[in-house]
Formats: sequence, structure tokens, C-alpha cells
Amino acid sequence: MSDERELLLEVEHLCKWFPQKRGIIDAAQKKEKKYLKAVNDVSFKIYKGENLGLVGESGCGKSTLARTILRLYEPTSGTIKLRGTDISHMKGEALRKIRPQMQMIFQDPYSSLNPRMSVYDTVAEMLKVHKVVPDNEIPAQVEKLLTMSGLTMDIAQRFPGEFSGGQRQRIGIARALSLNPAFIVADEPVSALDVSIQAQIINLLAQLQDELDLTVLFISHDLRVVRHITHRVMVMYLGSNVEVGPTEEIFDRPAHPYTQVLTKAAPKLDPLDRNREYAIEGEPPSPINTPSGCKFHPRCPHCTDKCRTEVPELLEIAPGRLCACHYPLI
Amino acid sequence: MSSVEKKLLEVKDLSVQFPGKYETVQAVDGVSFDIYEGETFGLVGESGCGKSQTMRSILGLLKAPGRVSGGEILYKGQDITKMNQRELRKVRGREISIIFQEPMTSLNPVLKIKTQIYEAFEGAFITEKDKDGKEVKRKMTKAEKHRAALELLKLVGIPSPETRLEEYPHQFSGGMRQRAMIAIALGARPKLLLADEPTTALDVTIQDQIMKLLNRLKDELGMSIILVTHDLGVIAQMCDRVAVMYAGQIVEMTDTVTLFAHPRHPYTYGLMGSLPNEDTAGGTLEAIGGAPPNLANLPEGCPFAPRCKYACDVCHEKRPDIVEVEPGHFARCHRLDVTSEFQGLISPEAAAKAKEQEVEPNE
Repeated sequence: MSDERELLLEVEHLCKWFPQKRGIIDAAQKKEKKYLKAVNDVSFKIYKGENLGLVGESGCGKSTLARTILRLYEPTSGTIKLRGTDISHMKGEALRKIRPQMQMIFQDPYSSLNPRMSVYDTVAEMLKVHKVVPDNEIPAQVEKLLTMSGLTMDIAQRFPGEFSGGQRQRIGIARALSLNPAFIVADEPVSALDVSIQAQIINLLAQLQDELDLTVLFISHDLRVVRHITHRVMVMYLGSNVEVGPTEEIFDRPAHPYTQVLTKAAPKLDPLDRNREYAIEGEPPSPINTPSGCKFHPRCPHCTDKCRTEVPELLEIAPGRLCACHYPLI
Repeated sequence: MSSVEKKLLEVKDLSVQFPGKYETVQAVDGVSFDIYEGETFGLVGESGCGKSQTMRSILGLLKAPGRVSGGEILYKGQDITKMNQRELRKVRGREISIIFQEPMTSLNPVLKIKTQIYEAFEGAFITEKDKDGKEVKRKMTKAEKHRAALELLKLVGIPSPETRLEEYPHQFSGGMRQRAMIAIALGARPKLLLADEPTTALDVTIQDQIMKLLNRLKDELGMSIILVTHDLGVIAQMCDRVAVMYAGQIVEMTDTVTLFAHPRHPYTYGLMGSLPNEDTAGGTLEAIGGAPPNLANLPEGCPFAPRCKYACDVCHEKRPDIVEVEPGHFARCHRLDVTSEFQGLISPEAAAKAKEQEVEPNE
């Protein structure tokens, strides 16, 4: 991504730590308070009109990062700048003013819609709350949003329970678009859907992004989908981002050993190309007691003494490519 | 499949119905397939296509009001659908075992892992010779169970099995729970393992480990596996033969390499087209339009016709029969003339070469 494009969101050294319960005995023994470092020192930028993929195993902090950026969580430290304005500790009315600019599409289309609100009410709710359009124009606006998401106005009076997963996800998309947001977080938007429906929603998202020049943070654990839809990718491991770069380059030549593992682990769609070796042994350690040095070192095939003691910094190893590894693979 | 290989399980014209107050849902409609010894057979399809119900009926585990309304399931010549609970118990676990998608809900949260594994050995007997040289069967002693449980945990790759045996399911991670589930399923050394979406709830790295673990165990223990999944990637990596299901019927069945090289049913072809891959980046996916049909209210003709690009008049009027298009390759479609042009995900040349060499796919 060239720097000529407008910088939309800038995240610097963002941390979100959740304090762990400390029993009375721990307190008496003056044990240190423990934290679950869900997001730990993450920095990145998103430019206008781009789709940034966020990948990593479950529990690596993808969703916490997204929710902290949307200010659904209060960050522990660090800054989030939306179009140059620091929103990291905004409160009250100021925060409410910022909210319409950032919207979210959720993973589960079954629990993210209110079963007692009709499709019309679901989509119109935010138009009413934020007074984007005059009241008499709301029906026209709802129709426009539904059409854009591949639905029709005759379903407007029906309830979410009557729809299949794919259609519900379309309703969720219409709702997210209703305030004409600058920035959308799509948190695993297709992983709860069947393969044939998945493709429809992926096409819809790609098409909407083109038409509306949307900026998207696309969270997914499905690397095939990420490769298809995103421009750049960020890889997270245990709360930190270990690699950022253009999608094609990262998938073709991963720089971080963890990224390499992820690309290897995704099952290949070729029965003639089977591999018997595990892509990686073991599982990620608990984010409460993270390993010293590079957090990936206990599972890394290239680990040295330096990795065990020194924390690698996220450095630019090639134009547009950042990697946090002492011995990048490229 | 060479004729030397023995049939382990025959499913013949199986139908499963869920009678309701107003309508009857035909969840499985005339499904037939054979499982040979030592092979992995995949059932692939979208949610609600009947793949899990087919699987459940093999163990007599259909949830009420579901029932087998027709057909038979022959295991070593005996019809499972006609067995009473007592006979079924002899088959479950000892001969045929099952692992489920959700490893958290399928383990008992209040019992230690060891208790749950020991339970699996209840079905396994030890054959010994007594003083007179006669063979007698006896149950395992506690010490034997302990030893066998340790061995199983090692087999499925759980580190420090001694301590793990004493723990409860909540102390296990998702991948470890699935491994524990597999250990329990293998407790009585079944001949056939049913795996219902065993990797769907897991991360890619753990999915990779479980897939390869199952592949290895299959070879080491000489079992057969029936694998239910919606992921063609898992099929490609694990299965010898595949059946694609849609709306309760098998629409295509062949060996995995042929399926990926020459899909003959528009649905299989559509599924492959809707998967993103290296070449589709930035482009549009060939999505299948519409949604799967309501099983209680199927269209008169081919159930896939309303979503099918190639559907013609006859497709909307008459249900197609399943035909053998090539030896061992079955498809259920009226437009087989059109579908012969389909290009799969792998090149036909590579597939032909792999077949010629008569070797197992490059492992």
C-alpha cells in the first residue's frame, strides 16, 4: 500500500490486559497481580479503501483487538487514531459521535440479530438513533440498504427466525452499512455458513467494498478466504502481531516461521499432494504465562538462545513487510 | 478398489424419516454405499443434507422421532437396523465407534479422563488359556486398564499421560479433548471408526494434527473410517473414496482423485467453484445461487434443479437416477452430457498418471 492513500486508522502500542482474579492467599503472600495479555503492544495502520486480514489461532487476541479498536473495550494503554483523532480514551457524547463511523459484522448470524425485531426495524434502528436521514426518508433508505445487500423490500416485515444463515448475514451486513461507516470490522463473517453460501457472502462483501470504497478489518481463521478477499494481512500470535504485509507476498513467501506454519497447516485441495508431517507440534501456550523472549520460541523449528531471551521487534524487513522475528525467512 | 478387499459395511437403500405433526422430513433418501476394510470413506455436503443422520443410523443412534424407514445396514452380514439394544451394545464401541464434532459436550465434565477411558474397555475382553488349555474370555483388571489407557493416550499423542489421566475434561484444550475422544473411541479397538466433523471446531494447526493422527491410526490399527465433513480440503487430505450428498441423497460417489479431477455432478462442481484459492484472489467466486431446499417440501424434479445452472425441463419434472458413468464413478444427474466437460481442481493428466502408477496418492 502506498502512503499516498489516506491513512484511516492508526493503532500504536495498543494493549488490552484483563486482570486475573487474585485469591486472598495470593494477596497475603503479596504475589504479583496476573494479567491475561489478550492484546499486547500491537501497532498497525489501515489505509482508506483497503481490506486488512487478521489471522491467527483462537485465543490469540484477534477479536479482543477488534473490539478494543471499536472501543467496546477500554484499552489498557496505547493509542487508536481514527482519521487523526485519538479515540483511545474518549467517553460519553464524544464517543457516541464517533461510533457511527465504525461498525461490525458478527460471526454468528443466529445470535447477532434480535429475534423480536423485524428486518425493517433492525436496519432502521440506527438510522433513527443517529438521525442520519429525516424520518420520512427512512423507508427509502432501508430499501436501498436491503437491495445493496442482495435482499428485497418484501421481506422487511418478517423476523430473523424465518431466514437461513446466509440471508441473516445479509441483514447483518445491511445493518452495519446503514450509517455509512468509514470503517467496518468483519469478525469471521462467513465461518458459520455453508460453503455454497459462503461464496455468495464473500462476493457480496468484495463487491460492496469496491462500490462503497469501504475500509475493512477482516478477521478469519480460514486462510483461503483471507487470501481471496484481503489486500494486506496481519498475523497474530499470543496477543502480538508477528507479521504484516501484502497478502500475495505473505502467502507466497512467509517471513515469520509461524506464518509459514499456518500456510502449511491449511488442508490442500489436492488429493495427490498429501503430507504426513505435522505442520507444527503442540498448541499455543496460555496467554497468562507467556514464554520469555520470542513468544513463539518453544514451538519454533529455528529457535536459538537469542530467541529465548530477547523479544524480537516488529521491523520492516522488505518494503511494506513487517516481521517480528530475529531470523526472518526471507 | 480391487476385488481382494473385503466389504466391512454395506448400506443399502437407507432412508431416514423424522415424522412431525404437520409434515414428515425425509432426512436420508435411498442412500447406498459400501465400506471396504482399511479405507477412509468421506461423506461431504452442506448442513442438513443428511450426512450426520446416515452416520447416526449406522450405530442406531438416531434421535427420536427419527427412524430408519427403509433399507438395511449390513455389518459383517448382520443387519444393524433390525438389532435390539442388547445386540447393538455388542457392536457399539467394540466393532464400530464414533467421535463427534464438539469434544467439550461429548465428554462427561464430572468424570476424570481415566474413568471415561476405562469405560471403553468394558467392551474389550482378554482371551487367555486356562490350566486345561481351554480359551476363556475375561474382563480386564484395573491395572490392565490403567496400562492400556496410558498406551492409548500415548498413541493419540497426549504428552505426560500419567498426570493427564487424573485430570478432568475442562483441564484439556480443544485439541487435547478431541485426542481424548479419539482415545476413548479406540479403546475397544473397533474395526470401523465413524468421525462426525472431527476437526470442524478446531484451529487449522490442530486440525492438521488431528487429520494426520487419524491417517496414522488408520494404517497402524487397520481400521476403516467414515468421515463426515463439509470441508473439501479435509476430504482431499484424508479420504480414499467420497460420496457427495445433497438433500438426503448421494449425488456423486467415486474415488477422491477422480472426484477432484472429473466432477460429474453440477453440485460437486459448484462446491469446488465456490472455494477460494490462489487464482481467485481479487476476483469473483463462482457461487451456487439460492439456498439448500426445505427437506419437508422438496421440488418434484431433481432437488438441486432450482439452483442448477444447467437445469433443463426434464430436471424440473423427473428425479434423476444414480448411474455409473465410469467404472466406480456414480452420478445422479440428467445432464451428464454437459457435465462431462467439467474441469476439476486438479489436472486430469496428473490424476491419470497417479492412477496408472497404481500407487497410493503421494503420501
